[in-house]
Amino acid sequence: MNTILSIGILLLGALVAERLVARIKVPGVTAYILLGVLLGPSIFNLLDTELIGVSDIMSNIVLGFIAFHIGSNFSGENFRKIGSSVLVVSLLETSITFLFVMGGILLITQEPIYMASVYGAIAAATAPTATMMIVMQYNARGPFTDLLLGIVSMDDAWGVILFSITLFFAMNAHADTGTGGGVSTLFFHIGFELLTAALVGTLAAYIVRWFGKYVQRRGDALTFILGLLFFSTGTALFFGASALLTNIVFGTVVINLEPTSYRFFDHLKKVDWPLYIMFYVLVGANFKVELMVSLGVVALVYVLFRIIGKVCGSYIGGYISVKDKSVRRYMGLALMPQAGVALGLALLAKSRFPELGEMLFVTITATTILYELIGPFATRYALIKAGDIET
Amino acid sequence: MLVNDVMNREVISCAPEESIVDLVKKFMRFNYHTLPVVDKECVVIGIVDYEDIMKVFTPHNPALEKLLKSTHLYNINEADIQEIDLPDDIGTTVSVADIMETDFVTIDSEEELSALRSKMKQYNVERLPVIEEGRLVGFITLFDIIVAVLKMKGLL
Repeated sequence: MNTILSIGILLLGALVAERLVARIKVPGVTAYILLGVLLGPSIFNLLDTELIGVSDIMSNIVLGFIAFHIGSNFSGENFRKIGSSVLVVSLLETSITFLFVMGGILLITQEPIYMASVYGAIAAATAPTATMMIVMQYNARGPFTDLLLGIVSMDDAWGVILFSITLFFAMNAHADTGTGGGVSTLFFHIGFELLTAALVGTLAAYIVRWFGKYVQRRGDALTFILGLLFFSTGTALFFGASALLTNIVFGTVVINLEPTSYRFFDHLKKVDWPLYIMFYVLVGANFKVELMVSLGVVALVYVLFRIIGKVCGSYIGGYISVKDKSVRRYMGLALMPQAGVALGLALLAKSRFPELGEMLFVTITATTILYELIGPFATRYALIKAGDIET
Repeated sequence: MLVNDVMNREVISCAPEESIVDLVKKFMRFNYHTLPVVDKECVVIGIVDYEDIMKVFTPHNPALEKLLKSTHLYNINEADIQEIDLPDDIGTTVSVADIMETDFVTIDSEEELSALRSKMKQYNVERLPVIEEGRLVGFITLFDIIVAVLKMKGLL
């Protein structure tokens, strides 16, 4: 099968698959992954190998887009509008989940610390679309629902940031196990990478500020912003820095420097959808079904400790900022769904750590499907208990 | 030709504290669908159009809705507009300030029409408040430019 025909089958198949799973109230991302698994080499082998081979490039590009959009939310005005409780609870529940999952994997499964920390960072992300589907389906409304929606739209951002920083440590620690580099070398590398991300992201934002006014036609605006995103992602990768952090800095600086630059975000939104779909189908195609049998303790520990982390983190966050019993008791359960961002990050980790990353990728993909299936019930239960769904 | 020569000086504006019902009545009465929002000193603080009224049909804080939509693969079907429960007091409790857009573009009355057209294309807008020293003095639309150019060429 040639590459172009594979892309056609992939995109059209994704539309059909999404409508099929929508009948059982499951978000599209699950359909795209399952379609990828079916079309991939493990089952029907209908996708061109060259296409699957570009998954790494796709994940860098698509996660670059996602990171840029995440940055666009970090404006002072946005933070003021959504309120401090969203920030406090989301920051606490993501960081506590990170610590719990990392600790659990490290202590129980004996994975090296750098892999355990990557599992921890990925566990922070949740699923905005799945959560909103439940909210709309049951017509949930109230302060708990508003807080929940604010948190799910922010904690993917915290997850991506945590992951980027963790990946620095993990990659340097992984490299140092062979070369025996010291702590000072590790911190030098991390400092260099953070600085590169900040400089490249800020430079890209200033290019928008300086030259954006000369870009007027719609086609040019799209070319300009795509070019800059490829430029910032590629430059970051060239220097071995995090493309994710670079693009978060890019989005954040640009929206605060030039509020009217939202037009570039709008242009990007008109074309990025099929790329996301392609990306998730390729995630599914990378999934090796035969590895499912080796899923065991790691997956179990990941699922359990992620739930415990979300529950404890929300309890503490709720205790500090909201003083509302229902937030303390039920917010953690409501945050159970896990979706797209976790998978993207897992694919990225897989390409960085070829030996141990394969198992991480299979674990995250399998648990995402599980969380997508059981998570909505937990969210619904939490919304009922909090009194935001009338029974 | 300057913006000053073409703009509509009898500009209809609204105040941030006006209720949504008063806003809809204003849209109906003047047959407009975009209005500048001004404070007591006549400084433009926002823009509101009929699409912004759709925000009352979403049961959540509009800022949250915007945030959720910026997350990737956010694909939620809109609920049936006839079925949505609206609180009885929504007409009086929701004000223009709750739904207006605060990211907006203005033009100075002394600018050339060509500069105005460039700005419209750059920001993908067709209606702009005209200001002098920060205060609202008029309103100009793409249609005003079309009429002015046709007149200039003797076609109207």
